[in-house]
Amino acid sequence: MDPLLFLLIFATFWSLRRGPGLRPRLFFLGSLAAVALLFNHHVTAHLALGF
Amino acid sequence: MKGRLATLLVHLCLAALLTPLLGAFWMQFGRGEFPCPLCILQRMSMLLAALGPAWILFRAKEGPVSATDLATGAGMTVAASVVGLAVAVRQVLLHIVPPDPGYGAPVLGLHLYTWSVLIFVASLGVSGAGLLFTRELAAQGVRFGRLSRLLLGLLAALILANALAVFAEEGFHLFLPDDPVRYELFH
Repeated sequence: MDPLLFLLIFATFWSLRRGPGLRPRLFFLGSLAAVALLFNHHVTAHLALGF
Repeated sequence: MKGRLATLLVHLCLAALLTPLLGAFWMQFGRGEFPCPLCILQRMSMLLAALGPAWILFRAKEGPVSATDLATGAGMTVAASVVGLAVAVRQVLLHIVPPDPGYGAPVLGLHLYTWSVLIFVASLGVSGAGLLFTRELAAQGVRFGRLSRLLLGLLAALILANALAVFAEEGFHLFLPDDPVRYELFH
């Protein structure tokens, strides 16, 4: 999962490089949401273990 | 002289966000430490925060940078820093109770996740200050030069290098283990 997220971040970088508009910003928001979701997964996995 | 402050600020912000990422690589490969899942999430957030100044530099390459471009870049850095700060604070809280020695070796007396908290807070402060003066900074203009090209190249290389490093650590598993002790791809 994590390598794919880095590739998504690279796709965002490439999108920002290509030009302004809505798409690069949506890419950015999507990447950030994916990172936040992965963080949520780690937190809930820890809660299930009783941390 | 014109445009020097805005240009300097944007380049400094990008360099300040890339330096800890280079340091993290040095800790991983120079000192043989394995980044945990939360460390990787902080790296992702820091790379996303670095996309803010990168956006401004890409726009400067095409022509004059507007106040909207500056505000968009600062907004990206703020949003990514909030996520990164949440992850870093979570990791600090996991290791805050004595006698927990913390995860990994400290650098200059602080663990990497504590440095991460400081960097994300600083990044929020600088982006907020930048947002206050977008009109003045945009009026100065941001210049794209050789240093900009170098920093953007470094950012792209760091994203790809992180993808490869984490693939080696995670192998073909879906998630990283909580306390990684080896590169799963080679086992």
